[in-house]
Amino acid sequence: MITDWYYTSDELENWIVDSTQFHFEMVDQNGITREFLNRNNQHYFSGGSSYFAGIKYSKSEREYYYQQFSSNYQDSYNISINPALNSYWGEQITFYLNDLHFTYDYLFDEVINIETNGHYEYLRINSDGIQGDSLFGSKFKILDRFEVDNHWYENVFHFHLEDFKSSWNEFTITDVYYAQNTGLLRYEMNNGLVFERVRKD
Amino acid sequence: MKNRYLKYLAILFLVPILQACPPVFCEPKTINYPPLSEETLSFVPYKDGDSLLFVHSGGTKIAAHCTRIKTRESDGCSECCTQNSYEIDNTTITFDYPISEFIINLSSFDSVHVELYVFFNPSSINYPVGLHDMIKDSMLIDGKIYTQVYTLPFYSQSYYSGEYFRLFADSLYYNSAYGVIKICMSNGEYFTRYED
Repeated sequence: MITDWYYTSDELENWIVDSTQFHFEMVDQNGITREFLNRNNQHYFSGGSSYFAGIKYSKSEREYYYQQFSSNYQDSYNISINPALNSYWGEQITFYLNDLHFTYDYLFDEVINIETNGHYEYLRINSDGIQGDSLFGSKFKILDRFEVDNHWYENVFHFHLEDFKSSWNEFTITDVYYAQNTGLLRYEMNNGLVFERVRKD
Repeated sequence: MKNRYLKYLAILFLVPILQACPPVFCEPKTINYPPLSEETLSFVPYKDGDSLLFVHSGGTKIAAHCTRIKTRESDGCSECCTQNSYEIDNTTITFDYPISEFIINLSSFDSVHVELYVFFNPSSINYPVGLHDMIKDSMLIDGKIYTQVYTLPFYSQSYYSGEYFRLFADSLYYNSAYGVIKICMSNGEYFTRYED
């Protein structure tokens, strides 16, 4: 039986940080510091099977990376990466931070699902691409560089939430900045609080 | 010789049977510990619905609100003969700011000893020996004199993936007149009660 192997690219794997970034602090504009600590790291292949008339005719193995962090004030975020699946969908980054969750797909260059404050929506995708014409208002962009605490970081994704505004509360996270090889850099809440990573010397 | 052989055989069969089945002669019962006394409850001055104000060492004022409920909990197991039923008085201070809740639990197994449990993630305080063993003093805290102040060290942390947080609450100043007076963090930051 044929096994199809789907691997994450080196470029995608740069969103997963090494142990030098497992412990860091962030501070908000009121000077309140919080510490983030790595809790969980996973790397494995997830198996799948294809059947015809009840007979298995192929297997697949998809590479999967996952990292989770939490703060002393009970914030929690995690990031996972998935490889592309033929031309059906592209490489994907899935990110959770407290009540916010989204997935970005490289092939469509779009956010394909979002969840916040109990509201969840996803784009319907089939072999013809994204179905329907209602894309999210929220945006995902990869910046060449971004400055935090007088330091420039390269290859930073910026997610900006625009959807489900009627359900937002003061602590709803509206913006996330995350750098390759470093991790979470900055996030902003609906009440104007901004949390920035403190650079380790 | 034959009798000794039969005795060993009987023990060999009885041991797994006795381990698998609940005790035959045990009538399950619940031990109801007395409710928390008013004197014990007065250790925590907060009432359900209270509004509080704290100030961070950086100057930011943070509002908080209180919930306080009393419940009766049981411990024990389904195979045990006895279950202990005891009261827990839970006070939770929820801040209008994205930091952890502050939890104070009082519970008692008799009329003398009170167990105090305080939690401010990832730190906790657990005093199983009773409030009477804690030393109190008068103190000047942030320009105000407080009497009968307990200085309680946080000495426990949640343990994640083999690493402890380096930033955590390391001490608490508390009295039964005002409740939480000051929470000191390990990096020098602190939260102090504030009165308008």
